[in-house]
Amino acid sequence: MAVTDRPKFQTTGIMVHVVIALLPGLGVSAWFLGPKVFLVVLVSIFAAVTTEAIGTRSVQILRDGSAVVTGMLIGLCIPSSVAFWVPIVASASAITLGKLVFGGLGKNLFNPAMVGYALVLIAFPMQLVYLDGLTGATALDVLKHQETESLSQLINHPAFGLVGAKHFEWMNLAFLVGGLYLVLLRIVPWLLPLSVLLGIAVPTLVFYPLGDATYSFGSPWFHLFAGGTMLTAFFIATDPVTSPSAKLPQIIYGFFVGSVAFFIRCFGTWADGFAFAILLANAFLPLLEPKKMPRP
Amino acid sequence: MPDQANIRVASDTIVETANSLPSIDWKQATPDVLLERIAEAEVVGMGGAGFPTAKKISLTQQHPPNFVIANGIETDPGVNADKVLLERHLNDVLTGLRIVAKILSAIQSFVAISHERTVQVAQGLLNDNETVRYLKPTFQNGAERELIQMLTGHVVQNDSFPAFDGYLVLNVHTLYAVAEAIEGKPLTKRLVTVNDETRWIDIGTPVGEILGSSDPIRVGCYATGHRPEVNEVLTAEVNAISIDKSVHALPCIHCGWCDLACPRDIPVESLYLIAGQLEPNLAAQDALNRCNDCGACVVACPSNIHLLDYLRELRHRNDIERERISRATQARLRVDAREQRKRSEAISSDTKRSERMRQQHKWQ
Ligand code: SF4
Ligand code: SF4
Repeated sequence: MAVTDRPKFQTTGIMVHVVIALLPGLGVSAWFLGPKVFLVVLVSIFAAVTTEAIGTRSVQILRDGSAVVTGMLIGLCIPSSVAFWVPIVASASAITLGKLVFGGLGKNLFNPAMVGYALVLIAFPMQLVYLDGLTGATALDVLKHQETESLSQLINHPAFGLVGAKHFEWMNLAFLVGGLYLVLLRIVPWLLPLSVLLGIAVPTLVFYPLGDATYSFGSPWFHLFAGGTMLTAFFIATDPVTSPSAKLPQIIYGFFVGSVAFFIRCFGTWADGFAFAILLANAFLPLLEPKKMPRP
Repeated sequence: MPDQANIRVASDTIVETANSLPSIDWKQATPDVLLERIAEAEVVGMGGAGFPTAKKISLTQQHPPNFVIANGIETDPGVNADKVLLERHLNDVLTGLRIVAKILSAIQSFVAISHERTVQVAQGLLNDNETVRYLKPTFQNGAERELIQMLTGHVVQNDSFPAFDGYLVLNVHTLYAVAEAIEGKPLTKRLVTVNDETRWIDIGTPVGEILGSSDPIRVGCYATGHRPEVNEVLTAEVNAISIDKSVHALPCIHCGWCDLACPRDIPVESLYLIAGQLEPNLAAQDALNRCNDCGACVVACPSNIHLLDYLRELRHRNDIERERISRATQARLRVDAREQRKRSEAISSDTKRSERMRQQHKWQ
């Protein structure tokens, strides 16, 4: 490493780049789902920042920008059809239960955004269903409740797009682009998102051939470009605080997140399983990397 | 206050005599005369060690054959005092090198520079037994042993020292000071990088006054320097005064970049967490010993955490702990020895008594 006197990035700078990298995904979501997406994201950010300022009684603490990223991720996870108070509840609980109770940034065990999102997902499941203007359900819901549909019907279902879920495949593509931007800047270690993607692709390779005319588990391409796959792989699983920094733990962690998400998608109650996969992996993190044991 | 007046006069005279050292024609002078002058002008290592240069030279002199290396590798992040010196005074530095080479009757001299342009200029100025090399300014290249190996291929064993093997590494600023000393000018000022701008500063200036603002500073570069002590003044080996960013450090986000940056593969983040417990940790001593205070981890941290401060503190606590343990063991040994002695005395007095008793019984 050559001698310079400045870090590659400042912590605040990292957060700025993450926000920039999220913008394409945000734009594509708004394109398909309407401008209300912006509103939900803004409300989430506002709620997260306000909660952090009130909770720590300090404006200084906002310098690191992490509250903005948390709020933005929540806003992107929550469907735009929700009532206005849902993102507020999610962001406020993300900051308080996900971060402040552990002692603030860097001391939290769980990914704050996923804490907030999972909480509203459990508390108000009906609010969190994506109501696609066209079909009334997303491809992942269709996949889950497809009992009577045949494979060919499934693919022709209006909720499906070219390879993945309609609309969502473009959103995933946009998040993939933003994610690659972070990887190229080396803000995000490439191994983590790759392991998450492999974690979801490998089980589908096993299960996809097992599906028959009456039931499909979804193809690898479908799973890679459906739901929150890319958002999770590049932006949520890579939160430095709650993910490992050594290579082998990164592989295990990523693979765990990806495959747990797949099994929840196919066999669980929820349509998309990334929030719970992340939280579960967070809980195991101190086993993978003892230095990440939360300390007061 | 006659006393103070006297002191005043005395110190003035010293400065007076110091300034009026006669210039020496080094090409004619004997090595002893030159060496004596370097000692007299109080030239010290200006690359960080602060070791008297005359001593270092004569130590090397005892182990011929000798090689001299001018170290112009700037390893302190953000500092360019050596670069500016080489741009403005390359000739004087080379003169200093030749003076030292003459004292040692050195077989060969090397100049290591980390700025390509200066290397080109230097190439045109060299004599036969002099070589200039461009070396990348990495965090490790500036260390003496690494430098010797890279320039000459010679490996200084761990149980030896460069001087014992006949190798002398001097910082370019030291060589400049040597040339000045022979000219008759003692070491009174040096180039210092003050917050991105390099300028001459008098040695002895209070460090707090150099920056000219009330920002918190570090003496030295940001990554490897220390917080100033009360009334600290500029010494010859300090090459920078930097603004201390670490006072506004953000929380550690566990990105692991400090670990990735460390050229010696030290688990810096873990050591930082251990240091945060404010207790000694002897299990970490191995890793601490491997650290050579290069500051790469400090530069890498996006949260501006001054990891080296934490490592140094932990090292300090460990030193105290080891001292305590060794004292405790010694005390324990002393107590044991005394008890042992008492016991053996008791036994021997017992045996003596029973011996006496037996003798008495015999007579009865
Ligand atoms: S731990 Fe020591 S050797 Fe490693 S980068 Fe930091 S200062 Fe350099
Ligand atoms: S570089 Fe700084 S923020 Fe990152 S792990 Fe090391 S100490 Fe923590």
